[in-house]
Amino acid sequence: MVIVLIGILVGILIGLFLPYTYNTVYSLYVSVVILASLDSILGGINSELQKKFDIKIFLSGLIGNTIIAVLLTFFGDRVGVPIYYATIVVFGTRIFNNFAEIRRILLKILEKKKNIWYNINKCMEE
Amino acid sequence: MNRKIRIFFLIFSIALGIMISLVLKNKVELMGPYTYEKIRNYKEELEIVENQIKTNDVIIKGIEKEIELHTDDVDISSLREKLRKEIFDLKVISANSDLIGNGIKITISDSRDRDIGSTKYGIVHDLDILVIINDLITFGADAISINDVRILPDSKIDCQGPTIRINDVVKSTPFVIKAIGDEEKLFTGVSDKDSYVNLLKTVYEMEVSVEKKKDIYIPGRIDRRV
Repeated sequence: MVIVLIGILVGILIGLFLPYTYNTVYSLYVSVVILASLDSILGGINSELQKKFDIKIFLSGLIGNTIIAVLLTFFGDRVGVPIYYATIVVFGTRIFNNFAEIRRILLKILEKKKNIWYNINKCMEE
Repeated sequence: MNRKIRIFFLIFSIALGIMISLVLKNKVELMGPYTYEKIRNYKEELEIVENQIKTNDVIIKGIEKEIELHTDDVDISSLREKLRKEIFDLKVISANSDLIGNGIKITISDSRDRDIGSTKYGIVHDLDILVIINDLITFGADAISINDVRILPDSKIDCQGPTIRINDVVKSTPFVIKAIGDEEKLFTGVSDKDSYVNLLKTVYEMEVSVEKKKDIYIPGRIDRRV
């Protein structure tokens, strides 16, 4: 989690000093891609905490989700129906779900550590 | 966490951060839902602005021409031509010159129906002529005359029993109204189903005829100074 936060901060700093920007026409696509990557990264952290992380699943999910999201946005743009709402809602929900699971796992870990310290202190006192 | 995975996450999140910062840098406006109504409104606005641009272009061209005329190395002959045209336009407006041009001719006389003709409804009144004249002006007539009396911006039309006094000249039926202008526009405007001329014809059964004519002659004002 901390690594990800540091990485994002470093990335933002790098991006601010980069002379390159994209065309505003594609801002919708970039936003959707960012959402897809955020979802993937949170999913990755979640699975890593549950000791189920598989880089193949992670990469295939990331690339596949991103492609589908971009395609849906493109299709909606052409048809005149804002289908990208579907991607926003789905990725948004998944981000919250992943975060909830991560939170629970981290809280459990914290509690365990607390218990261990408590036990150690107790032993020491005895 | 495995070291490899950590590095992987770090690189990936850096890339994500770069993307986020690019979005922040671009300052994109909020993407609200675009309904069809919004799009239609924008379209209308755009059309209005485009029309305005077109009219502005025309105005700019006119002003540029005028500037050309007023520059130092002015062509005297073109300036003379322009002034002559201006004088002609002013003469047309002030009715100081005779005019010949395409237009329409309206002839109105009292109703021949005995029942209506004997009452006040069958007689051509000053008001009827006034309304027709105003209609003609609305439809873009450049010059108008009634029985060869030129209508001026300050003309008056009075009732004089069975006759009408126009610019202090007494005229009687049949009244021949001539108008020079866009003949199609004038004709369709006057002979429209809901027009006042048609009302006179159908309701009061007056003798009314409207015809398009070429080379109509309209005299200038009587007291003109040449």
